[in-house]
Amino acid sequence: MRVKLGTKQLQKVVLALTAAVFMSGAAFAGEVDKLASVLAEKGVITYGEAQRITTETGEDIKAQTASGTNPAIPAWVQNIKFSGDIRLRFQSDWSAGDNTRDRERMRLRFGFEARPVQNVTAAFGFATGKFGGVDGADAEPTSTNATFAGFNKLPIGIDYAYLSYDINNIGKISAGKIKSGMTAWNLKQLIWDGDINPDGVSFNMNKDLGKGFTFFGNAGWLIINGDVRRQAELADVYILQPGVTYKTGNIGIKAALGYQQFNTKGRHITANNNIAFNSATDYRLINPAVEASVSEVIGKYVVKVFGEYVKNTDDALYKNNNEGGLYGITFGDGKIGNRGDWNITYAGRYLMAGAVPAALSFSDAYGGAADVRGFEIGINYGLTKNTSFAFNYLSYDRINGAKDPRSLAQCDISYKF
Amino acid sequence: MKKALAAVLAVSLFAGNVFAGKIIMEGSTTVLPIAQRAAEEFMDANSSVDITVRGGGSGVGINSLISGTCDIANSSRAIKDTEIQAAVSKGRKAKAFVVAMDGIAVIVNSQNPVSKLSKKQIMDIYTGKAVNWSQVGGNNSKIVVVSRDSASGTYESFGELALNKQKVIGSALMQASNQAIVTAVSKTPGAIGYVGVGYTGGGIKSVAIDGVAASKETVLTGKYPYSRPLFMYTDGEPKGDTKNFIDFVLSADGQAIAEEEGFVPLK
Repeated sequence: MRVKLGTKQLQKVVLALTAAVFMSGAAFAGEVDKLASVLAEKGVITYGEAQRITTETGEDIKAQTASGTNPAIPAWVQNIKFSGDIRLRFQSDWSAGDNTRDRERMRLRFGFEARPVQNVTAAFGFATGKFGGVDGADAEPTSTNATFAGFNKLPIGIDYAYLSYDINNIGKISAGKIKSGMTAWNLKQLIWDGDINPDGVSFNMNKDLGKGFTFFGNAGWLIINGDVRRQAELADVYILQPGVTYKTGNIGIKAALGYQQFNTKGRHITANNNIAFNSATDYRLINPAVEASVSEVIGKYVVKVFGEYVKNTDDALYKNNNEGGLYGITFGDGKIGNRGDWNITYAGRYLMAGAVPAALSFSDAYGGAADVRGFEIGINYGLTKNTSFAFNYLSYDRINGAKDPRSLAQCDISYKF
Repeated sequence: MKKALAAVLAVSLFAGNVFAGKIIMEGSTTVLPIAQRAAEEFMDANSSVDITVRGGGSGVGINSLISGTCDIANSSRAIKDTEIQAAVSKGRKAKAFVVAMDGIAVIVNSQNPVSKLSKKQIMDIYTGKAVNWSQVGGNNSKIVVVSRDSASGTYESFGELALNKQKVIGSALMQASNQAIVTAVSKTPGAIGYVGVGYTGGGIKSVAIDGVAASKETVLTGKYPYSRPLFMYTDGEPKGDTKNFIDFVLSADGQAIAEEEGFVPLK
């Protein structure tokens, strides 16, 4: 016999179930699910009411945990988010002559994000890398790979650490060692290698313009050398990048016009790593970028075409040798989120000698050097929900310097957590 | 005098916000038919309340709730963790209300010996990989794929629940209503179609999916693969007219609207 409950009785059942769950300190939605199912099977509540109770309780717990108000979990636990990834890599490098090198490498990255008070985020993360600088400082900020050697323990460094303040309905301002991409939309690492987490301040904003258009703006002030004598000028970088996204039906477009100014001429630059900032010149970069995607081109698959250009307008040293660009296409699944998802990307790129500071660019492409031209192919395949396989092949050579072709192949297995 | 005018203006603005009884709903096109019908009936009974209903998709509605530009976000999926975090960072707390269940039954002609199919077989049929019933355990006859037209919320739901957002094969016979689907399948021995659970008609039968038969009970318990809860989200516990409206949607009258629009009511 099914017993119908009134609204107040139903509320009591919900309260009792919720209280029982919270007071138990166990975890929670699953217990409510079981209790509600039993009550429904015995006819105390309907299956619809059981569905409401279990689903809404689950949603409430998610919201409470996110806001740090779940009474069953300590507040400090609720306010911290942990994430990271492990990547195992086999890499082969070929260059002129008989200079072939195989490397077995790995990367470990992990980080925490905490919300100490409303609108404020504190984030910090660690990563493997190459720490051969002065006092063990990072020798290669463009890479987080560690190569296996003699069973050595692998060194870990602070990869990023910053504070962010979300200014309601305006934007987010962040300061510290900020994450790559927080100062500008970095399409395919034409100017900045994606492993560089720069030091300084960033500002990011988004504004819905209606009819499918969204404005976004990124700005940054980055410190190249934070240790200068008084009255000496700081070596730093200014970045401003307004842009727009547009989405209609299965078509999406993202475009931006960036300006990046490297103030390095005559300024003191510490050079304890592989990035070669040049104190003989400044760099003033004009940098348009665009990406267009069409989803469901064939079945569920997406096609993306993209392009980016950079010109150094401060060409005192590099006149007529100061441009770079890339173009490419991706086809397949929009993201690698599940087993069987795949996509393939082809991209061509070139960087003239004076386009960007040497070794700042994508380090897998000829070590990030300038005066190079070539192409790259990447294939990604999902092995499980969080595990993927990737194969990358890159082939580059000098544009004007003595020919010295170099190729590189990588096989990766990555796990995200 | 200026102070008096300012006070009057302030009171007017305050009164405008509090007493105008305006509710803005935005989001899922699947939930849209319930929201629109419920809004019309609620406004008929409460003439001082003005409800605006907009579509745009679940993500649009939830983003509007996060940014504070709507009172109720309609959604055919649960809010994502990233959206919850975005809401929290704006000082908002998404409160979920399940307003109905969405369930879609797959039907075949009653003469067809096939009585069960797997989710993969359904996907293969509707994307054109399986074209003959013998490929899915039936007789050697061509499969005639029948679908709702692309403007239908049921089409959208079926695409999300059964086809992993892939498109229905281009040769499918597109029909404008559940009844038209039933008629087409009942008159075509090799046909397969889909309708809201509970929708019945002569000459058809529903097939079990992954061994689970389509029924109101299996949809409400979530055991039937092609089922999902439909949500209305508010910023915290709803108050005033927004609370009254949510209560109406969850009432017997509101649930009757959900059933009339092809969904499975909770009561």
